[in-house]
Amino acid sequence: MVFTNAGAEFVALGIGSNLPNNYVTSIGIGSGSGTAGITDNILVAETQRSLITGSPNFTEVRKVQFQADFNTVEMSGTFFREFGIFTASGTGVGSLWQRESFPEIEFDGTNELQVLTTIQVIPESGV
Amino acid sequence: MTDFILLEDGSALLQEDGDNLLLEVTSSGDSIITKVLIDSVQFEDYQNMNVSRSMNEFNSSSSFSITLDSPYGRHSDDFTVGQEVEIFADDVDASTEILHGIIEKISFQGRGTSQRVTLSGRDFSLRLQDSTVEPVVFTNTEISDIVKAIITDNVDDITTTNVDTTSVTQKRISFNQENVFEALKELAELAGFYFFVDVNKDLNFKRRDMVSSGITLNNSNIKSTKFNQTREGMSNEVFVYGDRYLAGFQETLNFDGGSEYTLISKPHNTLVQISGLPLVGGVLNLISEPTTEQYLVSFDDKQIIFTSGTEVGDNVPVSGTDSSGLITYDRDIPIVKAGRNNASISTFGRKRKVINDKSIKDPTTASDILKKELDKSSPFRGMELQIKGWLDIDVGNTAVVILDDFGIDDTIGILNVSYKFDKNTVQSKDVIKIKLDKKINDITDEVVKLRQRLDRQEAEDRQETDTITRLEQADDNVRVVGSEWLIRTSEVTGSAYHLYSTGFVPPVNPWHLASGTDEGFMSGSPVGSAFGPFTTLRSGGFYA
Repeated sequence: MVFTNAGAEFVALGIGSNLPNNYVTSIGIGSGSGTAGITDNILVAETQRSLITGSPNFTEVRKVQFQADFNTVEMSGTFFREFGIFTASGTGVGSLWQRESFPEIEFDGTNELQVLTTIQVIPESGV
Repeated sequence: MTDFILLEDGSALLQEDGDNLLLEVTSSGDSIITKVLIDSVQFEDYQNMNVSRSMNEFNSSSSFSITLDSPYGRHSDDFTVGQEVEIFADDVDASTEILHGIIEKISFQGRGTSQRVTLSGRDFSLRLQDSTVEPVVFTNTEISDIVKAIITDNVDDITTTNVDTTSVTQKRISFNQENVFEALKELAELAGFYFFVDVNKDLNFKRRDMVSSGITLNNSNIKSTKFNQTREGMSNEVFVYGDRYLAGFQETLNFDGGSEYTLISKPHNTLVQISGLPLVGGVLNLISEPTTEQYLVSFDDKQIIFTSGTEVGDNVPVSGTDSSGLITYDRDIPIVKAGRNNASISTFGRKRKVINDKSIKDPTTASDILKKELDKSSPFRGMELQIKGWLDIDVGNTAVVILDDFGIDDTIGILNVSYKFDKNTVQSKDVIKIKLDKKINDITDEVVKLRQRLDRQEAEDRQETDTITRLEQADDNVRVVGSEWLIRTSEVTGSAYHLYSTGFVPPVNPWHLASGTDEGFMSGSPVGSAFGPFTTLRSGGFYA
């Protein structure tokens, strides 16, 4: 799983400024394939974007967990191969901070989807 | 007839016609054993290795130089500057650490099979040499507390566990970006102590000539001797010039009709008043004809000269009418101390030393420096002994030295121990050379003194209250990693409350809220969930 350059740039900005909307609000899903890379800015073929469910989970130190849910209707007919996290909520809007791709999962209207992803920040001098 | 007798100590006795001819035979296990660790990795292929262990009076850090075989670049990427080096040596099992330092220089020479690499560096007293004492003044502080404060505030990596308490409380001493090593040397001399950094990176600050090594050096273990005595470096008449201060002073001038009046001191910032009225002053010989100056100052002659002339008028006070005047001025008070050792002068001749140091701001400091210099009023005696066999020695300790040829039977402090390891010396155990008593000054010491004088000159205008603008650079990293991710799905079980119109055909028509008769419970509802439990279909990522 890859945390992208775009995400890293925003993290650096976040350390030194109070830019508005500089945090993750949505998870997008798509049907595009291709290995995730740090220079990825968008999903290959985004189909849906959902606001994160509830609030981010900060229970563990230096970690944040996001959850997004997609219902059966939204997922029906989707060949799901990729997801990413975004600060913007509109489909196709903004740069993604993290992207993952995997073998497809087919949705036929009888199943719903939940995506859980955790980001960890590690100081280099200690773990 | 020749008899050959092998003795227990490994030597052999050859007798021939009653004459004894002693042969020394060294048995194969009787040699010095060494171990070299570089960043905890052992290296055994050195050609030769030199180690020098010193204390402060030797004016240098302990150091090492190791030359290893490196045919065709064997060690081309084994070493980097800054790696830690540990050297062990003794005549049993190489468990005695004799130096712990870092590589400062790596040098490759030669080619092909004859290529070799030389590593050189110093022990951790290099931290003292590479750091300076930021401007600070200590008043009424015991010297070991000053030492600990200097190390804590200015030096990384070095602890002060073995800094012993002295009996000397320093009334005042200041440092202004002096090299830490030189600052500790000054404190050690004031207290009669010596110092070195041991293999555990701990500063040892100890009273000189107090700890015996338990070793006696005599004809049984001395292979060769160098013994020097010299007047170089001694001084028996010392002048210490510190900074100068201006202090206010007043004199009353009793006028006798003359124009010139001599003062007690050379005057700075003069103000002459007659009947409470200040006069206009000037400098003698600055201009050919005074125009407004009512008096002139001759600084070196300590004189006030009242002027008279066509343009300036008659400013010479008249006796009787202007019977006295008041002169206020600043006089220069230097910090100067002088002393001499008459016994040394009559025995060895006068050896004068003049110290100019504007960082000396008070008479007490000047006095302490004077006494320290007069301790060196005897000729310096230096010894260098090549030792047979192995001895466990610490610098700064004392040894009993018996040299019959020179009439010496004395307990003398050890300044430096140097070790030369190669295939010959480790077998013959001719590894150790010891330097004792006083260090005879050489070109290195003179260069050090010149550098110190230059540092003091450059430090003149630095004040301990100066604000220092700092630039600090550091590198650090933060990694943001995508950690664990899960893709989970759950299946529709079919039991649900319907809120759809009867015409709904999934997946085309979207869900919409209906009303009236189009609402209702599915058969078997409302109990149960419309969906089964979540099942993880995909997962990945990692936790660092």
